[in-house]
Amino acid sequence: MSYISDSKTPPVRDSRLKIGIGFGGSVGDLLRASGKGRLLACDRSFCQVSACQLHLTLQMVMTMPDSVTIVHGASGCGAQIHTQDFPIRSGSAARGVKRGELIWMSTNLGERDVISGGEGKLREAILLVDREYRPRVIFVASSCAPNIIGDDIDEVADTLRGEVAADIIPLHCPGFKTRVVATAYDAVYHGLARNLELAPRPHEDFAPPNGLSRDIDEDKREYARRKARTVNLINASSIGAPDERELTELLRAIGLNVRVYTEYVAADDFRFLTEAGLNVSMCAVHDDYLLEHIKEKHGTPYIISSMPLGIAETREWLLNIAARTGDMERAEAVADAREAELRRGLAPFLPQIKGLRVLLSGGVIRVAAAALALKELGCQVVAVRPYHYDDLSDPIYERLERECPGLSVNVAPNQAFELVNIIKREKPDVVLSHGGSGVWATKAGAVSVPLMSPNQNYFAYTGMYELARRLARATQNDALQRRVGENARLPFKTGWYGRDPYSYIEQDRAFE
Amino acid sequence: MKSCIVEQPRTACAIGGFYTALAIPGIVPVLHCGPGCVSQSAALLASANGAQNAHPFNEHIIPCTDFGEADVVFGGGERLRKNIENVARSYKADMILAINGCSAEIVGDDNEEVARGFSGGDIPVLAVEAAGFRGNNLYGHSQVLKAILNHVEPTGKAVGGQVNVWGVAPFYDTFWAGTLEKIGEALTEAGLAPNIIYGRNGGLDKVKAVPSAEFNLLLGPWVDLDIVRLLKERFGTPYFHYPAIPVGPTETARFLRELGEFAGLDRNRVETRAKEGEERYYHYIRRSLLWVYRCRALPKRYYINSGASTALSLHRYLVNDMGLIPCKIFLPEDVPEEHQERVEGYFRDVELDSPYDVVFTGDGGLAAQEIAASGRPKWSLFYFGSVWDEPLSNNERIPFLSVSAPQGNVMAMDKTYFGYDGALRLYSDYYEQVASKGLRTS
Repeated sequence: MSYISDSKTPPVRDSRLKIGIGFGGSVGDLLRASGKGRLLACDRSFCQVSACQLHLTLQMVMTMPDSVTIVHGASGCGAQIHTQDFPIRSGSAARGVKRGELIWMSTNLGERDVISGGEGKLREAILLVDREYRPRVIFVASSCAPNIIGDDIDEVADTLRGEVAADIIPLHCPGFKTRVVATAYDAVYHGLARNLELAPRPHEDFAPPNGLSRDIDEDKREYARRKARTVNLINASSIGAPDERELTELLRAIGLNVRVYTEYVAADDFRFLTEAGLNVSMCAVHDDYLLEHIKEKHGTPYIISSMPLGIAETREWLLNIAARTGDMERAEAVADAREAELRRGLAPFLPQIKGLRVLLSGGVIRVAAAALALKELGCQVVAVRPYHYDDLSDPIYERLERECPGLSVNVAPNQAFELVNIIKREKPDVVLSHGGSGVWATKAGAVSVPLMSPNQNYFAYTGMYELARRLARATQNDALQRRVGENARLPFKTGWYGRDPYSYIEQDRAFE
Repeated sequence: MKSCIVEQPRTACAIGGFYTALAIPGIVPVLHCGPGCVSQSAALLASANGAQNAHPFNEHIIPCTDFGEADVVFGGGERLRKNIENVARSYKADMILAINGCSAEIVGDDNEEVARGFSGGDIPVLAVEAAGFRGNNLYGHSQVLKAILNHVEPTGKAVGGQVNVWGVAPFYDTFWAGTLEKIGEALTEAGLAPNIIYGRNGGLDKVKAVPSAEFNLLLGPWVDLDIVRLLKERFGTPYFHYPAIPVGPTETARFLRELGEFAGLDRNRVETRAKEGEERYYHYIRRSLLWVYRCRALPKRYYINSGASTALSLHRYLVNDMGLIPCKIFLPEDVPEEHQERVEGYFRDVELDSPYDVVFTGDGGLAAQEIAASGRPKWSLFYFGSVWDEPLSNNERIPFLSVSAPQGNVMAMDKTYFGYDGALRLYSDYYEQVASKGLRTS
C-alpha cells in the first residue's frame, strides 16, 4: 500500500521499519537483535539531548527556491533556521540555483492558542505569506504543540487552496512522534509527493502525439529510449554539491543523462521527476519511501544500495546502475581507470595514515560506508556510532561484519556521554564525527575530522582522495587538539569513565 | 502581548532559558521537552550568535527526556526522575534544574513533584516551567533565575561594598561574557566588590552570596527588573537601576557619577576615573580622524533592529558621542507591555531633540521591510541588526553591523562594547563597515 496516496499523515519509522536507538556491542549481535525486531526495546534509562525531525525537515524543504516556510508552533520551533541561512545560500550557489533570502514565519503559538487551537493563526499566516511574498510554494511545518492539541493543518490548507496563489504543502514533523530524525525524509517526501505534480503536463511541457506526426511509433520509441537513458540521483542535505557533481560525472562517463532531485529543485521541475528510466538513491537511509511510491504510481524502478563511498562501494554502486542500463562494459572501464588514477594519487598519503585507529560517529549508512573506506586505506576502525539503526541498513552492516568481524557498534542519537567514555577507553587517533561530537573528541584529546560536509568531496574517487588527504593533514599537526585536551575540564565524574559506556542501555531485552 | 505571526523571530522560546543556568558554573539543567528543542535554541542563542558554546556542560550533554509519544500518552515524570538520578551520579553537578518545555506542560507533567522527591538530597533539585508557548527566552531566563534565587537562603548580614550585577541575559546578549568581566573590573576600580553569578568566575558560591549584597545593580532597560524587585522583597536589598549598559564617554561618566552618588563613593575617585577614560578614548579617536574624514559620504542616520538592552546602549552612544541621528528603532523581543512606556522613555533620554519611533514587536522582519521601502538613499544609512538583516544590507550596500541575536558569522570571544574601551571597538567596527561598503573613497 502507498501511504502517500492513502493517508494524510505519514507513518513514523518507528512503526514502518525495524528501528533502534540504543545498542552497544558487536556488529553481529546488532544484526541479530535487529533481525528479531527487538532493537527499539533497548531504551536508555538515562538520555541526553537528541534531535528532532522538525530540524531535518526544515533543512530539506528550505532548499526549494521560491518557497516560504511557516513553522506552526511556539516561536522557538524554527530558531535553528538561523544556522541554515548560510549553508542554503552557498548550497544554492554551488548548484547554480538562484535563491533569495530565506524567508520564514512562525505562528508564534501562545497560551491562548494552545487552549483554543492555533488553526486560525495558521490560516492568517498562509494568507499573509501569499499576499506579501507571492512564493510559488508555502511549506507548513507543524511542531509538537499543535500536534498534541490536535490542529489539523491539512484541513487549513485544503480550505485555503482556492484562495491563495501558492501551492501549500503541509509537513507533519512533530518531534515527539518519532525516536529517529530520519523520519523527516518520509515527512518531507509525503508532503512533496502529495502536493506537487510529478508528471509533465501535456501541451505545456510536451506536445502529445496528435496523429499528424510522420511516425508516431518511432516518436514513442525515441521517447522511451531517451527516458531509459535518464537517471535521477536523489540527494539530501548531508550530500553536498561536490559529491553530486562527482557522481553525475561518473554516470555521464558511461553515457547516461543525469538529473538531481529533490533538494534545491524548484517546484515546477518536479513535473519531470518521473521522466527517468531509473531512480538512484545516494544513501540507503533516505529515499525508500519516495522511490517506492514513484515505482508504484509511475513505474520507475529504483536502486537503493548503501553509499558510493570508498573504492569497493563506489564500484558496486556504479556497476549496479550499469547493469540496469546495459552499460556494464563502459562502467567497468571507467571504474578501472578511475581506480588506477586514485591509487596513484593516494600513494603519498598512505604511509602517514596507515594504521591510524579511527572511531566514527554519525549517520547510520555513512559511518558504515566510511568505515569500509577507511579499511581500504589501511586504517583500523575502532568502533562505529550510528545515530540510529534500521533494517534498511542491514546490507551494509552485513558487509561490515564480514570485513571487520566483531567490530563494536554503539547506536546512539548523540549521547555524548557514551562517546566520551568510548574515546577515553579506546584512545582512537582520529574521530570521524558528524556535527558537534567533534567537540568531545577534541576535549578528550583526539583529532577530529568531519564525517561529512556539504562543501567537500566524500563520494567516489575524488572523495576517497580527499578523505585520505584530510586524514593526513589532520594528523600531521595535532597541536590544537592536544593542547585543548590538556586544558579541558570534562563535565563527568571520573567514576563514569570507569563504568561500562553502555550501562544505561537496557540491552537484555534485545534477544528476548 | 505576543505578536500574532512573526517573521524570522530574533528570540528563541522559553526553553532557551536553560542557557542562563549553563552560564552559572555548577548548574546542570535537565530538560523535560522534545528531542530537538535544545538544538533549536542553541542555534539562535549560541552557535549562530557569536560562535558560543556552553562550558563545561555543553549543549550536547544536556540531559533531556527527549519527550516522545509514550510520554504524551502516559506522562514522562518517571523518566525525568530517572534522568535526574543519573545526573546526580555521573555529572559534576552542584545544582540540578528540572525544566519543563511545551509538551510536558500541555500534558501536565508535574516537574515540581519530581523535584520535591529529591529534597533533602546532596544536590538541590529545582523545578522550572519554561513552556515555549508562554514566552520567549527572556521569559525562560526570568523563570530560571527566579527558581534559583527563591532557593537561596538569607545570609543575615550585608558585606560592605558588595554589589550583585543584573540585567545582562547570558548567551542571548552575545557579548555578555566580556561585558560582565569589564563591568566587574569597573566596579572594583570604583571601590566596590562586584558579585557576578555568571561566567568564568561565577558559580553557586556567588549565587549563595547574593543576599549579602549592599545593593543590587541593574544594568539594562527591563530584563531582570523583576529579579531586583524579588531580591528587595526577599532580602530587603535596595537596587540601583541604570537603564543602559554604558557605552562611550558620555554614558560611562554619567553611569559612574550616578552610581557614585547612590553608593556613596568617593567623588574624586569617580571623577578621576571618568577623566582618565575620556582622555584615553579621545586619544585614539583623534588618531583616526583623518581616515574617517576621508570617508567622504558619511552616513548620518541609523536604524536599529535588536534587543532592547543592546539597542539602548548603542543608541545613546551613537547620539551622544558619535553625533548620529536615529531614523527608527525596532525592538523585536516582545518587551512586556508593562515596561514599554518606561523603556521608550529611556530611549528619549539622550542629548538630541529629534522625532523618531521606537517600535515594540516580536516580528523581526518589520525593520527590513520598512528600510527597503523607505526611499532614503541607502548610502546615507547605517543599519544595526542581526544576521537576518544582513541580506538587505548586502543587497542594498547599506553599512551594517550585526549586534543582536543571532549575530551570525561572528566570534564573540571576550568582545564587548562596554565603557570607554568598548566604545573604541564599536567606533572602529562602524567605520570599517562604512569603508568596506565602498563609502571611503581615498
